[in-house]
Formats: sequence, C-alpha cells, structure tokens
Amino acid sequence: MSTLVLRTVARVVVPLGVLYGLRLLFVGHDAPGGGFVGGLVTALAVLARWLAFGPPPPRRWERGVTLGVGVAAATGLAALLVGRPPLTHAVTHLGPVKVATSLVFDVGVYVLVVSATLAAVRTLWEATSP
Amino acid sequence: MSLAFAPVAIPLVAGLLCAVVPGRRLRWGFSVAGMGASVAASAGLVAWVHRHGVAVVHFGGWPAPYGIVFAADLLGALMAAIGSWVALCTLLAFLADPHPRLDPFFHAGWHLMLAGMNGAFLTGDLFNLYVFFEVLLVASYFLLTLGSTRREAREAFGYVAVNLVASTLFLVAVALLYAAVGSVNLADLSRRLGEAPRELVRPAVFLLAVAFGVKAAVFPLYLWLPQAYALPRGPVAAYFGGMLTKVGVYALYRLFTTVQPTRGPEPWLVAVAVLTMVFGVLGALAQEDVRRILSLHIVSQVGYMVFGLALGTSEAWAGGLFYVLHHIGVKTALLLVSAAVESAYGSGTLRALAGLGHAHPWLGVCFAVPALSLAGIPPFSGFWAKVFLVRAGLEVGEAGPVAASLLVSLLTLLSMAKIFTGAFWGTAPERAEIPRLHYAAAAGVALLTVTWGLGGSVLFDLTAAAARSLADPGSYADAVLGGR
Repeated sequence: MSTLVLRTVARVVVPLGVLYGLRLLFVGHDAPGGGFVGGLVTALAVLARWLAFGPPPPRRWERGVTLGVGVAAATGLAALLVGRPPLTHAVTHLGPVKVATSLVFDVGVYVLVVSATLAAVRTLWEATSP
Repeated sequence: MSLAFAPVAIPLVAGLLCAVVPGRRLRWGFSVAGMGASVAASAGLVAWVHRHGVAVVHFGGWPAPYGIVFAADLLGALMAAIGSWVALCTLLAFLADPHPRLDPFFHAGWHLMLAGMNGAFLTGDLFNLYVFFEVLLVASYFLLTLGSTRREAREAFGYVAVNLVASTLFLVAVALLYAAVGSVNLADLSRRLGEAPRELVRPAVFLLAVAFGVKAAVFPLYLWLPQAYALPRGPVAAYFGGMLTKVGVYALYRLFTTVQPTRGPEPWLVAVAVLTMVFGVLGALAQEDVRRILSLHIVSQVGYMVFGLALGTSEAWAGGLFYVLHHIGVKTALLLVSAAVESAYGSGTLRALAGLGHAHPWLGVCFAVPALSLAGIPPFSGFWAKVFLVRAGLEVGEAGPVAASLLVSLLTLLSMAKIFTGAFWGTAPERAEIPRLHYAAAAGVALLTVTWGLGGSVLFDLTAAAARSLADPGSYADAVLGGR
C-alpha cells in the first residue's frame, strides 16, 4: 500500500487536511461546517498518514471519546445553571471577532469525532492485519 | 420545563462518569445512583405532566417548529418512568454476576441505552426520534455482543442488518414528510398533515408503519426477534425483551394518534394485530428452550398492544397502553428468572431444568406470578389489561378479533404451564447457588404486576388520561407550538 506516490502526496495532503478540518470547525457557527464534519476531515487526513507511513501508533483513542462527550455535555447543560433551556449559547464580539460559547461545544464534538473515527479504524486495522 | 430533558441528561452524564471513574465499586455506585436518579426524575415528570399537561423544552431557546423540542406528554413520561425502573432492577441482576473485564464498557453502554430510550419517548420531533432510535440501537448492538465470541457476534449480524434496513426506511419516510409538509416537528405535522399532498404523505406513513413494525416485531416482521434474544447475556435479554419492542409499539401509538390519527377500527391494523397474536403464540408452543418460548410470547403480546391501537377509540388506547406497561414488568420479570437460572445452571432447556421448584421455591414464585399474569389470570395486572381490551373491542363490535385474543390467551396459559411443569416440577437437580440480587431484580420487576393488579385503577386512570390526551392532538400541538 505504501508506495512512493502515496507517500509524496500524503506529505502535502495530510497537513492540509488537518488544517481544513480545523477551518471547518471554526467557521461552523455561521457557514457550512462544524465540529462533526471538521472532525471527519481531520480523521481522514490522519488516516491518509497511517496508510502512507505505516500502522498507527498504539494510542488510547477511546479517552478522546470520553473527553469530547464530556466537554460537549458540560457546555450543553451549562445553560441550565443560568436558568435557560439546555443547549442555549451566548455570543459576544471581541473587536472584529465573533465568539460564541457554542464553539466550546463544537470543539468537544470535534475531539469526539476524531477520536471515535480513529479508534474504530484502528480496531478494524488490527482485526484484519495478520 | 427542563425536567422533561432530565431522564435523558441524567443517564448520559452518569454513563460518562462510569466510563471515567476508576475502581469497580465506585463505578457500580455511580451506575446504580445514576439509574436511581433517572427513575426519580422520570417519576417526577409523570407527576408534573399529570398535573400541568405537556412539558415542553425548547432546546437553545429556539421556538418550535424551527428549533428542536422535547414534549413529554403522559404517554411518553409513563414509558420513560417504567423503562427507567426496569433498567434499575435489571442492573441489580448484572451486579449479581459481574464481569470484571467488561464492566467499564457495560455501564456506559447501559446508560447510553437508557438515554436513547427515554429520548425516543420524550422527543417532540420526528427526526430526533430517528436519532434516539439510533442511539438506542447502537447501544443495543454493543450490549448484545458484549463479551461474546466471534461466532456469536456473527449471529448478531442478522439483528443489526434488519435494524439497519428499518432505520433506512424510517429516514426515507422522514424525508418524504419533510418534502410534503416542510417540518418534522410532531405537533406541526399533526396540524398540517391534512392539507399536505396525499401522494407523499401516504407512502411516508406506510414506511413509518413498516419501520416501527419491525422494531415492535409485528406480523410478518418479527422473524428477527427469537434469534436476537437468544444471544445476549441473560439480563440484557431480559431488558431487551421487556423494553425494546415497546419502543416500536410506542412509536406506532405516536404515529397513529398524534401524527396521523385513526378514528374507529382500522381493518388492516386489526388484521396485523390478530395475526401477530396467533403466530407468536403458535411459535412459542413449538419451542423447548425457556428463553425462546418467552421471546416468542413477546411477539404474541405485542399483538394485543397493537390491537388496542387498531380499535381507534380512546378507551381501547387506554387498554392498550395499560397492556404495554403491564407487559414490560411481566416479561422482564420472567426473563430475569430465566437469566438467574441460566447463570446458575448453565442451561435454559426445559429438560435440563426439571425440579427447580424444590431447589428454589422463591424463584418459582417469582416466575409463577408474572406467568399467571401474562396469561391473564386475576388478580394480576394481565387480567385487567385483557378485560379493558376485550371491553373496548366489544364496544366497537369487533367480536371476531376479541374471540381470537381470548383463544390466544388460553394458549399462552398452556405454554406457561409447560415451562412451569417442565422446569419447576419433577425431581430436583444438584442445587446450584443463585445470588440474592437475582431475586431482588426479578421481584422488583414482578412487584409492578402485583401492585397494578391489586390497585389497577390507579394505573388505569393514568393510562386513560394518557389516552385522552392522545385523542386530542390539538392540545399537544398547542402546548408545543403555542397559540400559533
């Protein structure tokens, strides 16, 4: 699988893919994007790296799943503390930059999706390789 | 009213905590406490809804039908409360014979399943219902194959495949309804479905009925069920047997009352109900394994619940809902007894189990009470469930199906007697120890049928109130959408 062509392409595509995933995460508040799709794109980039440069390192991706769900759940429920319905978010402007608390929620989703996708791929990888 | 969201939020958070806390004892503590909190929250929700009407949460503060809502009416709240209570009791059966290696995953999966189930009962949005169905199913795939060998996991594939097909049909139906009405909010749908183009609405409703029918295991869509429930560890099978098909039944009730109301008997639905009763009980008579007998009885009993729905009157719905709630308790109790026996004796076939009644008399009682209730013997809840249904059936002049339902209940008694004589009579086998917690779990669930049998009027008042609010989708829509 790991050919010269794939390795050369991967060197360019992997960092671009990670960056594009992050971009989707950050623009998601007003434009198409968000934590879910951003996480998928990032995970695909990492997967391309694994395909080109050999098997993934043994890492506990499951922890990222827990962390991501935790962050998303906490920010989702935080609105209850100020007496608003769950998932209510606040938006403010720092100079020209629009900042929303929903970004924290989305980061949680992003971490969750990246970790869950990579954990699933790793499990399948180990199950199918001899 | 954020309480409507609590029965989903609590298990989500509790499951998350169970996944991160170290140490088995602490994990069990969090798990049982989380389940207890879910029970308390959903019981509180029932009380609130009974007094004040539909409890609505507008997520993010967005107004319906643009935002997503939770709308807990009495039906949804009752289902969530019973489901949480049964999940708590079943958790005790797990505690009786724990599995050290799988524990951390198990608790997260168990709570996720409850979150999905309660979400399905409480949501007021059709697409959200789909999402919670999927949450529930993903958790159920996981619990079904937990700790199984490769070969067993492969056998579970049939269950996964059937549910994937059903979910796809569900999704297609949601898209069709969105095309027809421009909304997937249940209250909005109930208001505007009448003026939508029929060539889109009719196939959508049909596809929804098929998708929910697969989950509810009605004739002819039940063939996946006996195989799937023969697989998992005993307590998982007990909970699935009690609750999983009822989520489908609940969705059918929601579809044919709130969204697309039926008025008066619906002939094709009556036919489906009767065929489900008859085929389920005939299949059960042919089986020799306790768990398989019990799981085919689920099919047969689902027929009664759909029968109540099919009659299309408020009284029949009340009877049908009573039947649903009664059956959840009874069936889970029976399967928990069979789980206790299987884990102690390593077998669930009738021949291997002769004489259990001598070795474990209390287990015999825990089995006999729900078994008699299932067959409809007074004073247990099954008797009242059948009385309400028969009365409602005769009121609308459906004498034939009523007669069929009575015949089926005789056959049910026959097959319960077969289990009881086969497994609990005869000469005693070598006695194996059954942990106390198994008794506690089975008795906790069986308690439901006893209390509802003796004080049936309280539960019937609740289900009657739930049915009356189902018969009046206008007030549900008003609560969700406001006066608009």
